[in-house]
Amino acid sequence: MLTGEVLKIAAPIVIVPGLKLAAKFATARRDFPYLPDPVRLVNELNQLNGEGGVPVTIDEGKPWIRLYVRRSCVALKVTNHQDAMSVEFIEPMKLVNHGRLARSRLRLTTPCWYYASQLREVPPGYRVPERDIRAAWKRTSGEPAADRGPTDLDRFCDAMDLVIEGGRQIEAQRNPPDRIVPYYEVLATAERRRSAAGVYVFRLSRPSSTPRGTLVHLRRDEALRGRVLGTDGDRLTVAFDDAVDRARIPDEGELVAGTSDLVQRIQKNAVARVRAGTTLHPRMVALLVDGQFGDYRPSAESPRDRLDEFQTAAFQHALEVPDLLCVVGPPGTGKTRTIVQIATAAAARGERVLIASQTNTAVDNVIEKMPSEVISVRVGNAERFTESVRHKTIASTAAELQRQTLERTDVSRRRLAPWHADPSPVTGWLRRLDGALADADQAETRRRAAESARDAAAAAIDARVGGLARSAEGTARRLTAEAEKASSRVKRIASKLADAETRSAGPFGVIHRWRAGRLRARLATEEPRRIRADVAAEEARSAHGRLRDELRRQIDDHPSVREAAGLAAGASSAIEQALHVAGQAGRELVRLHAVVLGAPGSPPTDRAALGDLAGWCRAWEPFLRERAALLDEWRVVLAQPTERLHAELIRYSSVIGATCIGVGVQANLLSDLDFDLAVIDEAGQIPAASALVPMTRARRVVLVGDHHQLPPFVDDDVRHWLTRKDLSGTGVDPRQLSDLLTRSAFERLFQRAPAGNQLLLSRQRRMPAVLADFVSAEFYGGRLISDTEPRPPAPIFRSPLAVVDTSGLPASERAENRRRQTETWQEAGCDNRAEGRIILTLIQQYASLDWVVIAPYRAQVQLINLWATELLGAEAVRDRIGTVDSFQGRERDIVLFSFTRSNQSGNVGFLSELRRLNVAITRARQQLVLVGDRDTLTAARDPAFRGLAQRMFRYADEHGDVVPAQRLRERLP
Amino acid sequence: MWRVEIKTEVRESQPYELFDQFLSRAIARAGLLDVSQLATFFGVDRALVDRVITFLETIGHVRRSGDALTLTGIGQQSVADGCRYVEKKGRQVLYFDGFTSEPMPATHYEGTEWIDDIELTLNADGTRFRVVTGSRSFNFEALERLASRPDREEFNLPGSVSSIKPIDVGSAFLPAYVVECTERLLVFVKAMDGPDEYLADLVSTVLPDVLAAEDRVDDMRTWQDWLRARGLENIRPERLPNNILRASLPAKEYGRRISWWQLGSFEVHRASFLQLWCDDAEARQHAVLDRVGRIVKTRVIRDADELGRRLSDLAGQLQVTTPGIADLRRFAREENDESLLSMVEDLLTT
Repeated sequence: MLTGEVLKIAAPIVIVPGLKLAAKFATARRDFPYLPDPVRLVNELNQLNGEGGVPVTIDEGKPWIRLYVRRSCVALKVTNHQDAMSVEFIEPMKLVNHGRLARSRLRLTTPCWYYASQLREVPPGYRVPERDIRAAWKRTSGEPAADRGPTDLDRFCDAMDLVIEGGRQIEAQRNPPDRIVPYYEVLATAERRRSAAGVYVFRLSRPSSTPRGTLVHLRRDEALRGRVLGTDGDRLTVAFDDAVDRARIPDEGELVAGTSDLVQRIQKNAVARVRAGTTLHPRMVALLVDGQFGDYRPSAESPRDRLDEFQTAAFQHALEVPDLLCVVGPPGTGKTRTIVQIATAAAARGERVLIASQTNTAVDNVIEKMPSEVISVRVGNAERFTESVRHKTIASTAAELQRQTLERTDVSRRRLAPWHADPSPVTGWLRRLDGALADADQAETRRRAAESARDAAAAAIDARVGGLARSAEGTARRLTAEAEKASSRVKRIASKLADAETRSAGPFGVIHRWRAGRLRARLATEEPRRIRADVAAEEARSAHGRLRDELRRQIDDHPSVREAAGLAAGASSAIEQALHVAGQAGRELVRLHAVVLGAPGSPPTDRAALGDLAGWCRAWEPFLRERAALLDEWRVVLAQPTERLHAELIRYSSVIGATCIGVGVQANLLSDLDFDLAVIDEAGQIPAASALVPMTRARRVVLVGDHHQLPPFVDDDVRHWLTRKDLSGTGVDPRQLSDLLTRSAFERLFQRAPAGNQLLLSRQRRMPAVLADFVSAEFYGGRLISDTEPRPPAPIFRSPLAVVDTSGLPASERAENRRRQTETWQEAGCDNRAEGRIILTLIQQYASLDWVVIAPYRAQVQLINLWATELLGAEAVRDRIGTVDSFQGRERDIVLFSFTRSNQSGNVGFLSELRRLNVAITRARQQLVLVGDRDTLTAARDPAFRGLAQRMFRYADEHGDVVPAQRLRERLP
Repeated sequence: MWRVEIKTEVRESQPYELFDQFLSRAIARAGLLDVSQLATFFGVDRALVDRVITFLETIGHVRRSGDALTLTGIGQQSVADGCRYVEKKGRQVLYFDGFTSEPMPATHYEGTEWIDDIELTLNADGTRFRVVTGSRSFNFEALERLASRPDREEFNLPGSVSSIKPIDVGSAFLPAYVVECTERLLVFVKAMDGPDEYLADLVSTVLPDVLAAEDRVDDMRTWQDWLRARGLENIRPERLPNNILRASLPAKEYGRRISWWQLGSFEVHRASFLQLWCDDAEARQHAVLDRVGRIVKTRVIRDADELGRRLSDLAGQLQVTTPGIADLRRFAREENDESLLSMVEDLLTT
């Protein structure tokens, strides 16, 4: 029987035999004599009652309820008055009954089952809740929740799996490398090592254009994978992900470029976690799929460093948000600063924080600025880190920790050395202290024995020859007492005489005079007596003194007394000597212990205190010996370069920086770590599948990004991919797929998030206000506030917003040129020579300044790059000319933007992605120069772009500096 | 059977790393009992030591009381043994019988086919089973009793796990063939060669009642209908002295209406069975070779000895003299079965 519901019936149930039971039971009993009669049946029911209840089934459309006991099935019908159940029949447990029983998910319990032979014996007030029983049966006998087809979660995950594949194909289109790169020699390199990972140069059989950063692996051993560090003709330098056994790399073979599915595997693992519901935050799935956020109150904590009001709000929300917070950070609004403060405060609470992003640069920016007291490490391929965080790699952190630890523990090691030396000076001093104290104790015993012997010998002599002295002593005592008595008698009489003489002149003078006479007579008698007694007493004392001195002389001179006294004196001297030795040992021990444990007090000198010191030293001895050994071992381990520290250091770090994909790379040792908080920067550009990697590993997530900048994949890319993809049979809606590809997880979640889960950093400090005000109105709903000091525009122009308008040039001169297969998906691109020349003129003027050129088309980038390289040399233009997409996230003083498109029909191609223009404008710190054909741009067929272009030119007319191309020369010096 | 999911804890030993071992040792043996002392002693930042201690706390090795640190029992044991013990929480499923809630022996955990669906249909061949079950609910004390049994490993509960707690109880159905013999029941399951004594004992308290209560099947009629449905209306099954029904078919029927491998096998239908037979010894010999040939092709036979045993066993069942391996090779050649031939050659060279 399946486990299911137990229906507890509050009152006992009475069972009575049914009207026809007797006949039926008699027949059944003939064939199945073991069937229980109603009385035994009730016993069995009561037994099951105590074993979890009696199983119940109900036959559809029948008036009875079946109960199952050990060897039989009984059908009970509720009586008309509903006060009892009558037994209709009792059956053996045939297979059909076993089948019924197995399907039952209902058991009944009641305080008791009773038997009554007749209905009228049923006591009043009993009720059988038949309706409840039937309702419970209905509830439990329904089909268990069957497969209800794919859920929202399944659909989401299915779509994500396709999106991952889409992302891979789009990336491959963006950067198509040579797929197979044959080589004939492998050379060691002197490349700077950031870790123990292998770096080798491969001599190529034919020159390759495989770009720096391309993932490569050995064709014969896919586990050996790394990235291209650089190419130089036929030499390709590869930095492997891990340490590589050189013998595993064949001397000649093939490298396979750009086909690693590592990224996709990591993304798929994250999707699998979502699908299986094993994300660290239990509600993350509901949040991702259905946008369900939890309630919370922001923290009142203040950031360590000063933040503006918007950054502070983001900080305080981030510290308490229970699930996910979206922070929109337009360019220059201090995203990094805010993230650093959030991570610092979370780390101070003991949380483990992950800083993740799509690009290494964004992660580096945050990790670089983490305060030194927060343990922060940067994990991933160190070759791709910016210089400023190289000291934060796990290998560098470990090496620094080792160096610092060895330095810090050197003094302790020397101080503890006495406990580790063999023979140990501590043990030696302690032994000496113990020995000296034992010597002192023995000498003390000897001293006491000698003194006793001396006293005994003296007593024996005294007994023998001390009789005369004792007798003389008695006489002296007696005579002295008598003299004292005589003296006091005389004093008394003299006193009375003085009294009588005083009164002899007063009343009764006669009597007193008579009395005085008598007293004078007595005094005359007593005074000579007193003098005699005094003399006798003095003589007796003198005699006793002489005899006593004689006795002492006899005792002292006696040989046995003299010998004992000598022994006692020797012992006293030994005690003094031993305590002197003990004191010296004590001083040494105090000195040794004082440097490792702090001073235990001034060195003691007396026996008891020295004993206490020895006990204290002995108690500490095993601990200090262990400390000495431990520290020595610790230093031996740390003196060697060790990778054993790496996994631990990562685990114990408060803040860990990695790219989203890096979080899932096995070699980065993060796979077993959970994070209390993940802060994901540049989240507006991160494909949802990549963002899932850190999101599934954190209890709380803060996404910081800007969905008004370029998304992970732009519409064009996705449209191209979808046209090549057969979605039939996948059950996935192409619109959902397109949405998942073109909108980042940030944008999707931001739009669903309640007010408390989405914040805007509104105060920008990068762009001149004239630029910021325009993008604020166009892209940020007018909420962007500028907080920049006004700077003069760059030379040539009168405003930080300059437009060089080519529409005044002859059409043939200013027109674009179509270029075949220059863009992603082999699409045709455009270049524009007139705009190229203008840009080149400006580059010459700004050569010594911090400038960049941005264009929407690769073809235009290639053209300007070619010309600029000829003019200024390769070094001067390196990393300064690129597409909009490649400049996202960077900033420069002077930005020159070439719209490129100039045609009669108003085609603006890539420009119809308006966010490209936002990216281009918001890169500039001092000067933005837009070069384009006003006629084409303001008459664009794409209505959204047309509107934007019209507003932009109007705004430039009012607030900027619009220069017709043909008059630019006039501005030049 | 009751399918009981339990949660367990098991102590796993892992190698120590560096900080965890040195800090544990320092607390255990060097009298360094707070974070500050440890940080100073090891020359590392307090924050780092605090993180390590938090980790050791998480795995249950260290207890904090204010600033004071102490090692727990598992922490001390780890230091003593030089390895990091970690309590891992595991889950596993145990089976208990549905009648008495006694644990199922470990022998039945391997190879047993379970049916989760109450419809009791085997996916492999569509065979439908009938359910037999008990009326008592699962007795949770049975799990406690099992946990305290010294021989619990014989019931698939490892001795090393502890803190055993049930988390889910449900039903599972164990398909078994029950043969009613004159003196006892024989039970056969997929997991075992030969009769299953455990299940036989278990069902012997229940099944006799059930079988006695069922209407008796007229097996002779059942099998006549079965044969008729296959165009063999002239065949009349005979009852052997041991009560088994046997239908002897002419040799020509094999390979046509009836497959060769069915010769000598038992067909099951409506709670009774019948042996298909052929009085022609040569045909039976052919059937032996056919059947062994099929077994060879499944690659379950590892060497020539085993091949000989299989031939001998089947020849015994089909009451013919044991064919040799040469006969099997001749059979393969006659049947133009190149793959069988090469597999037999392979076995001979193994």
